[in-house]
Amino acid sequence: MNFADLSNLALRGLMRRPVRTILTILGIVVAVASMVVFLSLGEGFRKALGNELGNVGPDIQIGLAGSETSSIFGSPIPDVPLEVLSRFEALKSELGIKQVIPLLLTARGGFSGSGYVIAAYPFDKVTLTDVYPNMKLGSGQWISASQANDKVAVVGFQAAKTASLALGDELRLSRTDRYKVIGIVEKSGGFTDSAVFLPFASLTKTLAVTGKATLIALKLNDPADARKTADEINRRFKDELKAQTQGDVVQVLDRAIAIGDAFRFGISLIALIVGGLAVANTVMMGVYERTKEFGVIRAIGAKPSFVFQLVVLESLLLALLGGLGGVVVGWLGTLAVNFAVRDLISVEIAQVTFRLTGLAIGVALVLGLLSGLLPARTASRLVITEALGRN
Amino acid sequence: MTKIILEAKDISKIYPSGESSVTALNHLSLGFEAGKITAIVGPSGSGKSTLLNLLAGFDRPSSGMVSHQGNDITTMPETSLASYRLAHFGFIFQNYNLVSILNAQENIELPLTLAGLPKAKRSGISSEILKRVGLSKRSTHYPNQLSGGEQQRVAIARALATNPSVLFADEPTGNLDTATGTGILELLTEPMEGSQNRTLILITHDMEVAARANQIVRIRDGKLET
Repeated sequence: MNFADLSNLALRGLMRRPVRTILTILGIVVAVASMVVFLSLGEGFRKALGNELGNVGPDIQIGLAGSETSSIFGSPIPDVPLEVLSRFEALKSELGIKQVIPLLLTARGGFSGSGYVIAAYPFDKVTLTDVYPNMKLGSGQWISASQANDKVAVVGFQAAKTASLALGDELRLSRTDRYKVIGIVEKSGGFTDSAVFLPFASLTKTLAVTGKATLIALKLNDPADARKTADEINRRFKDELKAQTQGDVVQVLDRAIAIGDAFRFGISLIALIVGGLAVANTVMMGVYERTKEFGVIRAIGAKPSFVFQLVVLESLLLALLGGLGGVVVGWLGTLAVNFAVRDLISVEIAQVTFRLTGLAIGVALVLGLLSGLLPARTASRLVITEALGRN
Repeated sequence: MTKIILEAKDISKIYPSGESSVTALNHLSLGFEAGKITAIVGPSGSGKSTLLNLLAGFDRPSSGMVSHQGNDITTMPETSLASYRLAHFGFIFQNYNLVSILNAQENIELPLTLAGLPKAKRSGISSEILKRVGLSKRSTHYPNQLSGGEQQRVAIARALATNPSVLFADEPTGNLDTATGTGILELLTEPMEGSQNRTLILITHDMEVAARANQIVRIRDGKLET
């Protein structure tokens, strides 16, 4: 029997009990859709990260060895002494360093939706477009070198929205420290949308962390040397400092996202297992109901393997239809998620990629295959005389 | 000279029953001539259906052998035996046993589909047989839309579709009224006319049905009645 005839027979077998079949498919749709929505978050972060890193200027970032520098945001408390700057200034020509930039990073707000990241740079040494080459000003002006010690701020598009800041408004970081908004950045769809940029010297005073930075960023004469230079820095300052390239940061973040993916997949696995059991139940019920029919087909001359394939194919068809439906519903779910958080962050955190679609369909098919094996084995091993005697 | 096409040699079938066992067939030997109709008759529980199951290759004897055209079907692996049944045997059951999700034509085409025939060829054969059994206008009807007599006609058509050398019929008129049963019998015996090849093995309680056979075999308590 060819595959088309077998598929036709399998489809008709499923449509014998259309309500039960549709309910089972819906079970898989829910399971796969939940997996798609959960994993789409990781895909969205991954994609945003890819876009973001293209905009990040520093080739190497340096933190204290043993500190929580494995994050792109460095240690939560600024702990890198500024003396380090002079040591790298001295090594500029030897290590091919173009610029040594201290950086303060901190975050404001939480899950309320009014949160933003504060990044402070020494604007007497560097401009924002040096660090983020694709950044564009929407209104106002950049922080100039002469304002490097002033309490002024350039605010990202989303941060301005969530903190309700307009040009000329004051951003209040403490009872006495207010920063005047002098520029608002155009929407970029990345990290910079949710950031507020302040002069390094001013924020140092506000946070009372004089002489400390969160990270030291290095721009190299040739960015292609980043790996080699980072290795050299790590060799020289083995127990004291830790240098990371953009690639290291990507790796660390990718690993973090992968751990998140595994966690979310674990959660969705529960739904998938329930969906799989629903398929197994439906197919097994179908086998029991059609015992006599399978007996007749076997008596006529069907091989046990034909019956096995027929039942497995029914199971796979259920899973495939459920998987396709799940991807569509999951995609709608990601639209809902992105719509719900559009005011919180400007990044589309949930994304349905080809990779995720393939994974969802693949998982559904594996689920269908596994769920169909036992019923198929049962059906293919029916004793013809017993099956024919079944009413 | 007569040719034996199907032969049972000293076959026994013993079913375990708790700690004891039940002997359904007891050292039975029997030959079936090519092109002849044989009726197997006997009271309920005599072993008729067990004999048919063994002859058709649905089940295997506890001892002895069944051969078709010299081929021992009792030792064939299950997969080979399935192909053998498909190629050489046709079956008609008392309860028709049509596949409910297939219409009349598709039911007739089922063994041809299993044999891997292309759609066009299947359609040609099934249309021809439907005409022969007088159901051309009912080809798209599903089993639950057909009367008992019509369903049995479809079952006969399905059994004939692969042009088998042996046709097994287990109480083919058992569920039908007299008039319908007579029509079915005529249809069933019709392909035999002029054919030297097709053998019909018929299980029946009904002596009127058995009377149409060339040979009547009586079974009682798992043995041939002399």
